[in-house]
Amino acid sequence: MKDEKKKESIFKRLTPYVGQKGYMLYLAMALSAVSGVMLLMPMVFIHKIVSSIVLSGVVEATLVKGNAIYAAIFAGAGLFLYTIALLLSHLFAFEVEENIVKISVKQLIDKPLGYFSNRESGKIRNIIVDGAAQTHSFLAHQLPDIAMTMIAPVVLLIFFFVFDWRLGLASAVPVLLGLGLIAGMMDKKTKKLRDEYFSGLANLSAETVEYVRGIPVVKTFAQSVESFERLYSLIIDSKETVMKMTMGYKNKMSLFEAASSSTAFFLVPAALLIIAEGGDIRQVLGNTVIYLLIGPAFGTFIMRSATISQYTYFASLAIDKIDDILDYKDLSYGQRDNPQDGIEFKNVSFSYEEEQVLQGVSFKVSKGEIVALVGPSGGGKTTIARLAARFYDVDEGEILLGGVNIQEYGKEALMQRVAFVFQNSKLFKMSLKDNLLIGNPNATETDIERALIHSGSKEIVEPLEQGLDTMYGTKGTYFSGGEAQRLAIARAFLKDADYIILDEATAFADPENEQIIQASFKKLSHHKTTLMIAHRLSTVVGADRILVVSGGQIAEEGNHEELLKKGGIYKDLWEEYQRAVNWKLGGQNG
Amino acid sequence: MLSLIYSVNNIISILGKYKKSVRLGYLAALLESFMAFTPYMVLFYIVKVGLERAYEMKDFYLVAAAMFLSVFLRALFKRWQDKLQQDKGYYAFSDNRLRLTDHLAKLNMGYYTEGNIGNFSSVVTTDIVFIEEYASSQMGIAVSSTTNLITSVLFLFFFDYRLGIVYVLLLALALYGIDCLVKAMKRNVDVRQKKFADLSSGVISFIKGMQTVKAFNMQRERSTILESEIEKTQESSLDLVRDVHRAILFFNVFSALPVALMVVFVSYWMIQGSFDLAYGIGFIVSSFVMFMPVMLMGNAAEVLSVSGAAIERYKEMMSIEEMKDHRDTSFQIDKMNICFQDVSFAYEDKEVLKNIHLEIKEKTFTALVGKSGSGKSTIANLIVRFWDVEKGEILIDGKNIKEIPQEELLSNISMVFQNVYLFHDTVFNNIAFGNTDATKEEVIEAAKKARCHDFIMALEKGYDAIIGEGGATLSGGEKQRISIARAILKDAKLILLDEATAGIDPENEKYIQEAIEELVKSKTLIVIAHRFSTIQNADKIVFLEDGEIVEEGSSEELLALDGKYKRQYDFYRKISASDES
Repeated sequence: MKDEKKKESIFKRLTPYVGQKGYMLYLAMALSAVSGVMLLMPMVFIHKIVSSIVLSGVVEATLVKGNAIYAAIFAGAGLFLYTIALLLSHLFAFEVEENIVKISVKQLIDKPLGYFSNRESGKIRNIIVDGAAQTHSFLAHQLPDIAMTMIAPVVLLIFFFVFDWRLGLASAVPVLLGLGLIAGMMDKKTKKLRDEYFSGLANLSAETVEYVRGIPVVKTFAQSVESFERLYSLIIDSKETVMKMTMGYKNKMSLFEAASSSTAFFLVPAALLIIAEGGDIRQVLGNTVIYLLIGPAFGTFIMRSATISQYTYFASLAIDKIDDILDYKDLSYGQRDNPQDGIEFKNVSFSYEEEQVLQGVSFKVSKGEIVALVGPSGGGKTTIARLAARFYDVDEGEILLGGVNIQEYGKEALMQRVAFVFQNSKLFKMSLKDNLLIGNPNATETDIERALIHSGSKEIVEPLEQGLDTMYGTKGTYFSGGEAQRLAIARAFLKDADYIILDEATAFADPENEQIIQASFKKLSHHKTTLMIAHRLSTVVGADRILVVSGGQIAEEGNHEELLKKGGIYKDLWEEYQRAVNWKLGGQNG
Repeated sequence: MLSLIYSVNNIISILGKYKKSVRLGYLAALLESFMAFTPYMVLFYIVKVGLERAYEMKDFYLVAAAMFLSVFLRALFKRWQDKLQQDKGYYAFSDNRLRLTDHLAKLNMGYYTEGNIGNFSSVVTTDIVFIEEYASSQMGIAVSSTTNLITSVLFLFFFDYRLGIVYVLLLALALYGIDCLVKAMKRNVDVRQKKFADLSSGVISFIKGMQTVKAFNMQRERSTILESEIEKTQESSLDLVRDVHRAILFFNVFSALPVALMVVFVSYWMIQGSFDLAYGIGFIVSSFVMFMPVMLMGNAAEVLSVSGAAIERYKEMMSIEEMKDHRDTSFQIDKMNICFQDVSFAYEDKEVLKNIHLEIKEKTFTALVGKSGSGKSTIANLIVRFWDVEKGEILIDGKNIKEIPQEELLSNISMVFQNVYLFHDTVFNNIAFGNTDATKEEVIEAAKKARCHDFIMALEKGYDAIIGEGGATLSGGEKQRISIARAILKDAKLILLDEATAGIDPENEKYIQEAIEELVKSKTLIVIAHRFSTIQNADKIVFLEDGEIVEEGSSEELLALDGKYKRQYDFYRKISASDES
């Protein structure tokens, strides 16, 4: 299905993005085709002037004037139309570029969150924005030329045989030669070299990025840059490929250029032959002159069609990439709202791509209970939290929210009832107040005040000159990771959801922030159904229940004291944690 | 025209030792243009003969010979020009890549910030490739076109000075058209680049905020905001399109008008009788060809203006000052006694360190403490010369570090920081990077000490597993331990450690701590500390605030002082106490 789509023409593939300005496309192409014909017309008038002079041996003022004026009118009108065509194609291209970005972004919004957690935002952006730009330059510059390149050779071909077919044939020889050479240029060997060259360039880019990123490491290990042998040999290799390519491909290119502009080379002898065979000297002369103009023009159009097909290829490649990155199964939602009661995992299994992460996990978080997930990284606790927030759907088993399958809830209902605070909470480029109101647009001043106090954000906002009206992201108003996290928690307070999913992730916060964040987490989960991932075991001590997740399964379950008494994985984790917190560096030699 | 010459010179300026050959290419281009005109000379001859008398066989031979020679020589000269300019252009860019990579390796490491790395990468890949792919071929076209025009001028003056004058005047008009076009293009390139950057950052912040957007069910609001941002950036494009197309129309008219005018002038003179009929016809026909180069130059101008921007970025990067390195001095670090003497340092106008005096004796343990922004990381960065100090000096074993060869300096220091970069290479090579002479046993030994061995053996291909894309994925803590194994193998005298490293992956904390213990045995150790418990054994704790050392001494001494350190310490104790409750 997908491959079929890729074989469709570039125009069909662009249809979804064309919007209401599709007429511009057709108008631009029509205008450019008409202008292509008009720009060739002066040749006819020049031919009239020249043959009249040659035939009669005198210059007829009125005839010259009349034809010269026509030639000028056609050329002028042709150029004007062509410019209009370009203008339209540019406008159209901007529209399409805009639509590609808009439509892709709209599709992104419907992707489940899991989509974003294993794709780099930079990569998504590159593919969409660069792809749109690439399509833009194809539409703006190549599009009008396509119409012209299609129609002009037809007109020229007619010209070839209208004036004198024998001379026409003679001037067709270099054109055919040129075509032959172009075909020869695309022979397997050169094509292979070209492919080699381009893949070499791609490798070179990748290797260079690695190099640039690696330089600090290289330097700290006092290695010379030559340790990047691969990069060096790639640079040398690409030089050699280019050398081979220039020998194979460029020689032919010069020949092609010479051939396609060598109309006179074939035309003149042919003319002389015709005359020698008894043709009318003056008529032949007049026609010869005109073929000298037509011949080279043909060559230019052949050349142009080669570049156009290259650009078309690039544009469809860009669209392919956009389609590929947006190709992801959307989640489907039901109609239910207002869940009551707790969260329950029933025999849940889940895998990321090939890797099985959870196997038959079952547990229940009763209403108002705080349950903490602990365990080694890679054990599956983050996945459990993500599934509970419906980043992904389970492969097997089911997740129940208030006794009903999570998939049956409406999207809005789900998002309103469940609050999650994960690492990398994002503040938007708007006032702090608006940032907080995201949590609940109807919150009052007192609500906000309370949320600020509970989340420990009050002392972040207070020193700011404009307080809550400060625009986030403007000069000087960036916050540290810990501070941003506190404001994000304030937002969660305002939301006042029934279910709370927390990823503690305070690893990067400094001790002061850590303390505040932990305290506010405690307040946030008060009387709420809470599922939290704990990295620092200190946080879980107060949890109603602790689930030790290991190897994709729940290995132990109980509260802090029970688990310690049990003497299993949790006890080991706890002891290790105690040791780590009290680690004194340099104990052995200090 | 001027702008075109400027663009061509701009390209030539980065061609290094190939400049000469590119200049010789001008001659080849000129010869090629002569050959391009030969068929028209022949045409003149035929028309003239045809109008005067009947053709003879010798005309045929002459014409055939002239034609054959001109086509043959033209192809030859064309190839010669390409060889001199385009091919050499490829070689020159290959050299430029090497030069740029060398240059990048010689910059102050402080330049290697996340943002700069992005810039560097885009110049090295996108910009250079663009210049390579387009600039040299377009340069060829610009040069050929110019020589064609010169030949036309010569040709016309040779036949009829009036024609020459008219042509030169008309040419001036057409070239003015090109200048207008180039200027509009330049405006276009700048505006478009800015728009593009705006659009990109809009989209990326949208994607990055997606989790929050969804969590608070604000898809509609955010997408409306982004959409209006997209529309706003695109709105300005309408002005831009109009601006450029005015220039294009202008250019088209100015490059086509001369053809018509030439025809008019020649016809007028022929009617007057002051111009030979044969030549008149010849000129009417060749007037099309004589202005063709102007069109080509117009097309080349567009590409050249884009590559001009790329070349500017390349040059800008090449002009960043390289770090001075005294490779020739044979100084060797023996003990690793470090001394800061009245060191001040500012980063982009912001003073980060003020008059720092600090002595670090060999094989001691020094801890740097302070809030983020207090300058504790800067002290570590200055020792490894991420930046050079502006005021005061840093001495190692009594020698100013600026005078110690960089290789000597760095081979004696190991840094274990939060951001670990592992190469897209095997696990083994990533560890062996610490010491390329190491044997396999030594590498494995280091991996064992750094508590890496077990998880490496659990990988499908063990030490031969490739790290990164398409290979083994490692957790933050595992990467950290590999970087420690690397440092253990390196066995440097000074260890700079960012303690946050240890907390990168709480579950792995224990292993990382054990690995660090192995690493720092009998070394000079400087730790950027976050947790107070970690550094209780330090010989010296340096407490920084706003770029100044406010307290200094062992933990006991500082506690006895009852100052700022004590207050922080108590606060930390409180947190730990609540941890253990």
